Amino acid sequence: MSEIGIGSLGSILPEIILIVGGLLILLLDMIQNSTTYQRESGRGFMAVAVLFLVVSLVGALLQMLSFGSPTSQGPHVAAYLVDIDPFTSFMKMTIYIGMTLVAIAGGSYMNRYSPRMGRGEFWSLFLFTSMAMGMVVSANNLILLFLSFEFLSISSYILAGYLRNNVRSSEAGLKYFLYGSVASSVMLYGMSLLYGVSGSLNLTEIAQAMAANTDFSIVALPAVLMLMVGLGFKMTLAPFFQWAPDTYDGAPTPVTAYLSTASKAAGFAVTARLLLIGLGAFSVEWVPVLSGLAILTMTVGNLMALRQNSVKRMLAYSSVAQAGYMLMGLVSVVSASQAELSQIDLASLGMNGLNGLLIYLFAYLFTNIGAFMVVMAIEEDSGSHDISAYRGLMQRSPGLALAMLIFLLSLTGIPLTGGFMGKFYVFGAAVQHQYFFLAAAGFINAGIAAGYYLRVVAAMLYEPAVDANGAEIAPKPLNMGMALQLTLAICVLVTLWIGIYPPNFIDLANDASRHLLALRF
Amino acid sequence: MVPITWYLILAAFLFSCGLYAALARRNAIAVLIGVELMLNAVNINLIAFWRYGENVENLAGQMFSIFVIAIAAAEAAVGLALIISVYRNRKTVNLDELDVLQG
Amino acid sequence: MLLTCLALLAIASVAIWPLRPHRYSFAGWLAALPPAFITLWLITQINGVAAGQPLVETYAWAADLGLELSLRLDGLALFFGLIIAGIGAAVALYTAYYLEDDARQGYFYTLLYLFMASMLGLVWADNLLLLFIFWEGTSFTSYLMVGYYYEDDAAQEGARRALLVTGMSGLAMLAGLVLLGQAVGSYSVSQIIAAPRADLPIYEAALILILLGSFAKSAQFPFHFWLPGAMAAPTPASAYLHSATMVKAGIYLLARLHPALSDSALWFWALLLVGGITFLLGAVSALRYYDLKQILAYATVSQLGALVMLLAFHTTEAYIAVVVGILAHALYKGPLFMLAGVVDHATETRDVRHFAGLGRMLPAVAVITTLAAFSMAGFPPFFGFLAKETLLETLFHHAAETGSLLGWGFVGLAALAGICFVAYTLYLLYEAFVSRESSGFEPAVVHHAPSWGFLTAPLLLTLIGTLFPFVVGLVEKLVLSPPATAIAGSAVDVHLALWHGFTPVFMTSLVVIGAGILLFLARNPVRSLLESTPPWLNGVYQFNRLYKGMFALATWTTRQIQGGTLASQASVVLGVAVLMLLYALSQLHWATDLRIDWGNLPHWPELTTATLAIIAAFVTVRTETRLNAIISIGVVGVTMTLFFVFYAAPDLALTQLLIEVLTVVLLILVFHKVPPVVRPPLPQSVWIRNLVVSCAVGFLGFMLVLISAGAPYAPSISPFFSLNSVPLAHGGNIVNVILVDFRGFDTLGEITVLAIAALGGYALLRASRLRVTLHRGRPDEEEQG
Repeated sequence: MSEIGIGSLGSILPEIILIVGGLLILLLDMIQNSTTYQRESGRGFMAVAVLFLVVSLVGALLQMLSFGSPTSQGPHVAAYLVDIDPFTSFMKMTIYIGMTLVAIAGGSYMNRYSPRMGRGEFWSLFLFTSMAMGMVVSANNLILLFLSFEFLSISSYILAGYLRNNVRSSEAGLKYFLYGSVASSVMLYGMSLLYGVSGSLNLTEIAQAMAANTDFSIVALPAVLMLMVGLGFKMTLAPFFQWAPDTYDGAPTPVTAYLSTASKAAGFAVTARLLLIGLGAFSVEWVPVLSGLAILTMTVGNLMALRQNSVKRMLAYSSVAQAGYMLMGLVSVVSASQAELSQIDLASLGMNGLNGLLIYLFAYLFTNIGAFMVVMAIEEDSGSHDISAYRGLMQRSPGLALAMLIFLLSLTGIPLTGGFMGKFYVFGAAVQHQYFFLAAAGFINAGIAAGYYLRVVAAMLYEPAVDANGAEIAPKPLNMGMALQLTLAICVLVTLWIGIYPPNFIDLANDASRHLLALRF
Repeated sequence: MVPITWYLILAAFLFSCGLYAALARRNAIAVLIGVELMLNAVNINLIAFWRYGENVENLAGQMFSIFVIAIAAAEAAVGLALIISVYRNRKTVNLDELDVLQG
Repeated sequence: MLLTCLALLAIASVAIWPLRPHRYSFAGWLAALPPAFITLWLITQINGVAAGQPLVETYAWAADLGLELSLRLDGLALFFGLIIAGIGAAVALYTAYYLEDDARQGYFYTLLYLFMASMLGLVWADNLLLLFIFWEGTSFTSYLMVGYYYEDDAAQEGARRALLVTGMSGLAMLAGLVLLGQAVGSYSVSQIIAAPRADLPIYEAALILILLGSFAKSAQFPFHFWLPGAMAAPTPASAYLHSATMVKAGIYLLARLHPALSDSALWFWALLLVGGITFLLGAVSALRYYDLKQILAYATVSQLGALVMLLAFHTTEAYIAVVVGILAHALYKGPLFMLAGVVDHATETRDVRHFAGLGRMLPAVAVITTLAAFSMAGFPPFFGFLAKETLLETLFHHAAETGSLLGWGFVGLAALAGICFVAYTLYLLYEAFVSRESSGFEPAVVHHAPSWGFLTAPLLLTLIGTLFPFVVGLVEKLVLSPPATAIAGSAVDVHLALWHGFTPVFMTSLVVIGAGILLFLARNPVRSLLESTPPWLNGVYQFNRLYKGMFALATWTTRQIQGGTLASQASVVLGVAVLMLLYALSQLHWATDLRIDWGNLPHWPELTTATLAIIAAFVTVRTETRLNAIISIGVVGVTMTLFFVFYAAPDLALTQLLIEVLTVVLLILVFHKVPPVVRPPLPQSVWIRNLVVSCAVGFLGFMLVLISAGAPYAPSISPFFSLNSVPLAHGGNIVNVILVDFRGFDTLGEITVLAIAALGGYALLRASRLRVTLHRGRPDEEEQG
């Protein structure tokens, strides 16, 4: 335990850096607007945003290193509102890496599509959003949790509707807002009930109060269900996912990329913390509700993805389905008793479910951001995200096609890709806890999902390129910016790295998960 | 003192009204108003729990309430901006007519 | 060296595509070199392995995860390795001729090598997870190979079906392997099979999952239907994947885990029944087809069933029969597929009804085919005869030992299947090479006769198969005993001979051959009987129905959810929320949990304010005019302020008032901009929906009231502070600590709220700026998306 007070502001230094960066960009934007905005390209803002993101990422990594060697249970800073421990650091690292990649790759897209005036706004909001995600994963108090959750939501509404002259973008923003505001109001009501029964807003104290008084269960389960509405909205669980396909489809593709990865990761981290720490103590049987949601989510997501012709929309639904798989990990861990978990910890793979969730989130982040970058590249080239625009990609740009192939294989869960590692750990946890029905639903869904991913593979590898009318045309090479190529390369490498040589990374995830589980009351 | 029950019932009523408005109305602005109602209900809860708690010096509930009010304002502002933006593009804020994004 | 072999194939697979082998006539011979080299190397290892010294190679990979790159060459692995690499070399040679002048030949070779590497890795792997990785590798490469003819819809469908069936069951198998590995505490295959594991608590679950994977991969009933569908693949792939190697992966896994898992009734009955059904089903089905490859595919299904059935037993005869069966099948079925491809290549059809007197046009093909087919039929003294003898012997032995009717039933089943084998072999040979008329169909003509290079590969394999029974005494110790030993888990000595005297088994064989000839003569009525079976008995039919059903469900779901308006989507959410809440309530104990304290009525100021709030909220929701709604939401806000005043929270009241005014002003601003909507009358469906929504909300509200009223609220949290203030914050005075330390971070919270307020104000500014641009219409703000 470190000193509590102003000194522990250092523990949220990465977030402070991001706020400073966002304000700086706003300032620069104001100066620019008044004089030279007609010539402004927007790249400068992007560069500043990336710079600040990288700095805060380094900050988060340093924080992580300060916990000592990955396997030891290092110290953790618990201040009144935030909790900085390996779990938090892992999530922050995941989120900041994702946001950095999106920022680097999304620059040219945003330049091309956004209105000329006020381009700085986008990047400053982008930094604020990143900050909110960093805060929300570390909050251990309902106030900060709600505030940063809302901050994240509100700035995401604006970013989704950012292209305000574009019908699709503004509609996407509005739909996101309408669903989001209702969902978060319901969640807030649940929080107020929790506050009522426990008399506290601190998660640990709530857990203590719950453990001390079993009468609370009358409120606890309804309260948790109301919380799940808000959290399920962020995690795109069925039936709260309906905003996601529309918003993912209509929003600017860089925004879609982070909404479906970093923002979702933040949602899962908060849920894990709430369910494990805040409510881990009380005795209500979770499994039916959570596993019902998991099965519903993966099934509906996959079924809907099957019928899509737009690759962007297909990825949107697939992202819903992936949330269902991730929830499987969470189901396994919340239902396990401490004794079971420590026994699992000793076994050679240590699949406790939570580490599976973390591995899944991390691997999925790179895979999905990569896939959306390919969508972005195709969109910039042909103006379409229909599957026909992907035909003949192998001839047009073998590099891009191979990258997409790897991403799709990883999404399918083929071994030697990161996606497989995630699925392996999550499914393994479900099987180990003897949730065979859950695992079976997962297997069947993985099979359905392979169907629509393979459609894109077949189009890229086998089918000849066509023009807008469906007539065959000679393949013409596709140009990509340096930034996009760089980020694609990073995504491919990390996806393969996690799939082929995962030990170091899995140690990190194990450490993070153990730490959160140890905090469980 | 009046039992806390009465306040909680009032809050539950306001919340239900807001939820109904948010779900059943077809106008985006009406949804927004519904959300405002729900947030007000939450505030009643928070303040009641704070006031009836044994430790009134701990202002956590009150503080939470202040933040909720601020969030409500921010949400209203952003929501209205988005509504205007959609209205400019589509000349409608009727939710049943917002159908560009249906695949 | 084992790893080097895999690496060699991997390198070859990358290298061969850019070389564009279709341009060179000698490409096939060159392409056969890597697998031929591996075969030769494996032959040099035979002595050591047969002496009981397996070759073990372990490389560190991710040891913490139980994942090691460990390869182990024992008797079984060597045996399968020889088949994979040896037939692989033959197939590589054959491919160049089959795909001559095909510009994508290089691509096919790439896939072929990758498949070969996966398959070798699968049988050499000494780690369950590694084994699974290679297992999936074979599934995926075979998907690409079956779908090689991408413009052929049947090929795409067959490829997809094969991948779905084997891929999904592969996942189930992985679950089983994980259960097994976790329970044993090691993923090392050699450790797992070191002892029987039937007493593990998870044994049944793990076994069922592993069997699921193995059965699907080896095309056992009810998963058998994918194999005939996969025949749309280029023939080299059929010859290699679908007869000699990949479909044997399931058999391999069962054989490999036999020492660990076989010691239970579940194992015995599952394998015996599933294998037996598949054995007979495949043999009978083969009788009704005309396509050469379809006939061979069903024959393969049948043979695989026989192997699975044999693995149920624990007798020396069974182990020998498995090993002999695998080898014999690889040596006759591979060439038969290749020859079907040769015929197809020469005449551009595979339908036997088109052939007329092909024997005179392609004499060499006819001779080689006859040799291989006689082995398939089990005519003495071919290799297939040995396989059938050992099989029958196992069943006889079992039946005699148990004396049960069921045991003799299985003997009868095997005899029946054997009769079918004989019948369709004769039918195939007769129709293809002997019969002079093409039974009413346009007779096939030979477009270009096959070159000798094309025939080399099937010829070689057939010769080996034909000669093998005569030299079996010389090589059985080296080739057949080690794999049988590995399956048994203890030393097995193989003694094979063509001639045992007039044993019951031999007599049965003779009867089977005779009955088979009779069945061949009566083939037409039998076929029409088979053709009259209803379609729903067909696995493909059921699969397609399932598949179409899934698509229909997908379309329905998509239409329901994607096309819906916001409000109807929201009511779905609400419905689920109500269901969840009902579940929550069903978990409660009403009598004890619910204690409502109504106490006294509120005083009149509070009562009035509350009434006002309720009325205003109701008006807000129900009013038809927008101004009324704004005014009433303002009223609700003001009553909030009053409540805060009652509670003695002046700062809160002030904030609330300010924000309320701001919100009302904002709303009016927007209403001013957005003209009122002319409301169309509500359609019936919307009216009903609203009714449902309001009922659901009403129910929710009622539950909230119950919950709100019933719970024991508001305990104190002061114990926490008094417990933790000294250790956490080094303070003595509790109040001080609360104010200074614990709430130090509230400053941060206030910063956050300021940022949010700034965001709100900022959005406002944006809104007003929008209005400006709307009026002026800046040139650079035109539609850009």
